[in-house]
Amino acid sequence: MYHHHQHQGKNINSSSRMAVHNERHLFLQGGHGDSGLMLSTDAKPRLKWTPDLHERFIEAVNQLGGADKATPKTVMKLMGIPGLTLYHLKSHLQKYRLSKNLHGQTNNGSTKIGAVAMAGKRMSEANGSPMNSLSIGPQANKGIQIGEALQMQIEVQRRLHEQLEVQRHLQLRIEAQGKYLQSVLEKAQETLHRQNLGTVGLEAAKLQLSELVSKVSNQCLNSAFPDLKDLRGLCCQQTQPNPPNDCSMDSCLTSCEGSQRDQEIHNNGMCLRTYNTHKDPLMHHQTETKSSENKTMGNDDDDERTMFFADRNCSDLSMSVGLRGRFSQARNEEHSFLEVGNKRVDSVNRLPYFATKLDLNVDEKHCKQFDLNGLSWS
Amino acid sequence: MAMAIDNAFEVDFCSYSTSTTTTTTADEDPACTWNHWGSPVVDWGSLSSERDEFQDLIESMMDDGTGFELTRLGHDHETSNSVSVSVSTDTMVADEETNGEDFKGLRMVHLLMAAAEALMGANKSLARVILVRLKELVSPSDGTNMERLAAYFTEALQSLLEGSGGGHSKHLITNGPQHHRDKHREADMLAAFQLLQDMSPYVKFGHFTANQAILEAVTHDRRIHIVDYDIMEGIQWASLMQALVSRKEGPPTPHLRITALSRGSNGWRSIGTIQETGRRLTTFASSIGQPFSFHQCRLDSDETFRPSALKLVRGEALIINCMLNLPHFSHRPPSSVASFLSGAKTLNPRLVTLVEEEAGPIGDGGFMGRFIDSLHHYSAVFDSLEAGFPMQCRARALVERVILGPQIAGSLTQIYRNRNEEESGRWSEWLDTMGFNPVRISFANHCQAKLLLGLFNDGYRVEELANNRVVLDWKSRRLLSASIWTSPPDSDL
Repeated sequence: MYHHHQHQGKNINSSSRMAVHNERHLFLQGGHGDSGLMLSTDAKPRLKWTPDLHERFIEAVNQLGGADKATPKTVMKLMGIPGLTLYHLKSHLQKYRLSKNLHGQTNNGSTKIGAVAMAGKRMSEANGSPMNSLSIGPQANKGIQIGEALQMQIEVQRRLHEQLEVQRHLQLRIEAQGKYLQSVLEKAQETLHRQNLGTVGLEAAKLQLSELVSKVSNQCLNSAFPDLKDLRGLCCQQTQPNPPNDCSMDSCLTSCEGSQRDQEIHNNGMCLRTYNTHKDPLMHHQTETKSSENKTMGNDDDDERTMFFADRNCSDLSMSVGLRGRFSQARNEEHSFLEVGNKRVDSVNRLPYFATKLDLNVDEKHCKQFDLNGLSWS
Repeated sequence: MAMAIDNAFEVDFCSYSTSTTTTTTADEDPACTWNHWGSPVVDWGSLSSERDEFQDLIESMMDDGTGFELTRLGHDHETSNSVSVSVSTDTMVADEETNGEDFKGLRMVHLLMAAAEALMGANKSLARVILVRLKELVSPSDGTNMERLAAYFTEALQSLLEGSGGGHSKHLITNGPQHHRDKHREADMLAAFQLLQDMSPYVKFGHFTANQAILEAVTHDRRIHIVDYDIMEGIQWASLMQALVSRKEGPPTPHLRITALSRGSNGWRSIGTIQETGRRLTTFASSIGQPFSFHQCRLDSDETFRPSALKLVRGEALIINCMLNLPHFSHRPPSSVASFLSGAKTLNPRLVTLVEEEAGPIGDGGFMGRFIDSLHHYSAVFDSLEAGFPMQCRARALVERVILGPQIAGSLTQIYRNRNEEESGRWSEWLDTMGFNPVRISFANHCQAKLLLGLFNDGYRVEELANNRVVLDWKSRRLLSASIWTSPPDSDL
């Protein structure tokens, strides 16, 4: 007896307290040989995973290329410990894998979780034996397993929650930046505009207006802006026949003064805003469905992108709604324009030019009246 | 300028689409099919590879081409011919017309490198001739990315050649300012800047990463003081203010004070002056209910920073914010940046946020190495814009002309000026050697960066190079780096 006790003392150094408990069971067992395996005597073959044994297990697993590549059979062969069965290895390997995965997924808390999981597992093994004597071992073991699973779950949930928070904040911040940028550009444009009105005569302003009108596809104008047909009459001498490429802007440029070009450019700038205000009803609706899925918006789907900037309303003059969204629609609109035989590319530029030209002091109410939904939006 | 800048808006829709720089031969590319309207529908999945095709191109060219170029140059120099470099290049590619696109790109790169070499060797006549040839081949408004890029590099080299200081391309210099010409420029700038914001994540990435780090550092502070090296239009602070106003932890709505460093001229590319920026920020802050005050601190005439010129208040958390070389920023002299960062150290700031352009490994390349690296860099930027907005040639052309072109010029000027110096490392390394401690970038910050990039094209990536440094990549090319630092805890003031 004394001899046996000593022999076990070697193997159960760190969990000596438990070992003392188990002693009664353990030396009821026959010889352990050199394997140092401690098997209990209850109905289910509960193996005590000592640190030593666990280390050998890890060695074997690593030799086989990691927790995912190793199988119970191969580990068993590699460890070569008699008395170690597939059953033992299956459950141990599974737990090991779980703790490994947790460790891999998350950055910081994971190590703790992983350690907790493994420690919990070890504790469960350690606790298992005395409890087994009362034959409630398996249930208690399951309880602890569930506990680990819950911990994992909680951690994952926490991360998800954090990501959602970040997403929400990001949205707000982009908006804020957009608002501010808007004010920068507005003020700058105001100054430009004031200066331009000084230098450019009223005639020139009218001329410019009519040029812009001439660029827009007739079909769309007719439907959306009926009151502007008269203005188009002004520009008949300016109207260019459909150029093969998008040069209509250029022909205007060459014929106009530079200051007029300014107007076009800063209309270019303004066009984003008014254009995008129309997309809000669409976006608002779509964002509900999208935000419920915790996906990152990382694909080429244009719709998702436009949806992200969802919290726009007409009163929020954010510019950063996204040229992306605008141009994604442009792609579709280009096609519709091509269909009517008008080979202009940046047609989307012209519509908002149009809208803003009539309404240089951005008045949201006016925006809403220009219903661009007459166009085909796909 | 001889180049046809005025036709910047002339875009040939159909012919552009046949040449995409990311594919070798457009017709053979399985990833690129043509839809009904003749525009490419690109399958990004199969095109995404570890390395940018352009990089491969450059590297293959450099392996066998560089040596070739140099010997050819040497030969031409001896015979003192008026250089027929272009002729020899033509004969070289004469029998390989099948890969026309590729070779054109290659040829341009060859020529650019030859021109840069000539410039370095002070062989001005040679450089001039090469640049003339280049100008025949390229135009800043049409063609492939490579061609437009080459156009801007050509322009930049041209201005270096003519020694026009500051690296500003002629057509954008406001000397002899006609009032209307200024406004023309400013209108362009407005539109281009806005487009840049919407089309690419560069600016937002830098701003948001820095802001998140700042927010995390000041959660329990009532007063915050930020010293901004280059405030430009102050856009970074709008989102910070919004976040401060809506923060849940710590004292609600802390007071924010921003000191902007001002220079003699705010740089020709900013919209308005620093005072205007201050006014705008103040207005914005009051509109969202953020207690705010704005100050200016003048830099010396040589842009050196003197910490004593700052007004400090006890009990406020001091943040140093240093945004360098974002696309629409002017290149600041390194001595100025150095004075700022070392001055900052004496102030014991709570946090230092640094965003800078990330250059590739240069090795012992010297000027040529940096030149080629610069080519890589801007090629990646052009590609990234194209990838996100393949159809919007005009918009991209505007951004390229107004923002990137001058950026290239400024970058080359700086490289040229420092050509005889040791390789200047990153500012983040400099901070490290100065004794600043790194501050870990949080999970939330990483998450935000990834989400932000997800809004743009798939080719963008966040790379974590150190626990306090994240880098924005396009495909495999690192573009912009953001790093966070703090002063060591036991430093004495």
